[in-house]
Amino acid sequence: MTPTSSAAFDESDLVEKARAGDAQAFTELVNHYERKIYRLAKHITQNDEDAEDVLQEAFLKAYEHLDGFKGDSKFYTWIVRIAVNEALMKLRKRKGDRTVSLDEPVDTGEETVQREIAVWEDNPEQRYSREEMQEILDTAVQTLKPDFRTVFMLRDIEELSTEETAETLGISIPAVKSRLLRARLALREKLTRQFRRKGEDVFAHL
Amino acid sequence: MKCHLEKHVNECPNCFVIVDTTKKTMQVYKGLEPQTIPEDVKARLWKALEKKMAARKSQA
Repeated sequence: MTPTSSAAFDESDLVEKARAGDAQAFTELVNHYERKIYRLAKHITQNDEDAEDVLQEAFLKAYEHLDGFKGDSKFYTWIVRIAVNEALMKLRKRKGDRTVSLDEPVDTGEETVQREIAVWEDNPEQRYSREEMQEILDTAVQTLKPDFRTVFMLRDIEELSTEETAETLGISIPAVKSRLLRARLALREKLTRQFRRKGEDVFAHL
Repeated sequence: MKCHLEKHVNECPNCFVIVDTTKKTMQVYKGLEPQTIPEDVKARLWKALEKKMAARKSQA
């Protein structure tokens, strides 16, 4: 079955049809979300093979449990949750006996952090090709610890709310906020080294 | 509290740069569309889904 292009994507309409047994409607949903789910899976698992498994499992489970989808959240949020659980299970398996806990005590930042403080060049996205930019951003995300990376992906990339993120990961709202802040600051550090404006007074903009 | 913080950020060069570049970090990530899935990965996904859908149809 091949996906068809739809002029206007109406998630709730497609979900209703899919729940009623319309396979083409489910196909449209998969086609619409598969790239985002794959990106999420790749970033969490950091492994192409695992990411593919997660992608498949997420949509297969979604199809299997469509009846259980109550509609109290967006379908996309629901499938993101399924994908995140699958991805975290992959991470746990790969670490063997070591438990991957997302509710570890958060480092309060007692250590001294040497911050990169430099303005960025204007519009860095225009300086690099799409592929180069993707590489730079992916590399930076890869350096994040799994719990920070996952929160960042859910909040800033998949745009789940703080509450949805907390519920998906089984952690508290303050933990989500704290980890998100630390993820953003860590990424800022990495990207500043790449995008800092060169050859100028750092504070010339003030 | 928020006004006090905003005032400080506008007056403190270090904090201004950190807040500004943090915002830009978020913008850069939001601006990037997800990449295309490799064709073989996509093919395997659809094969698995079609198998599932066919199984459900035969049960109905």
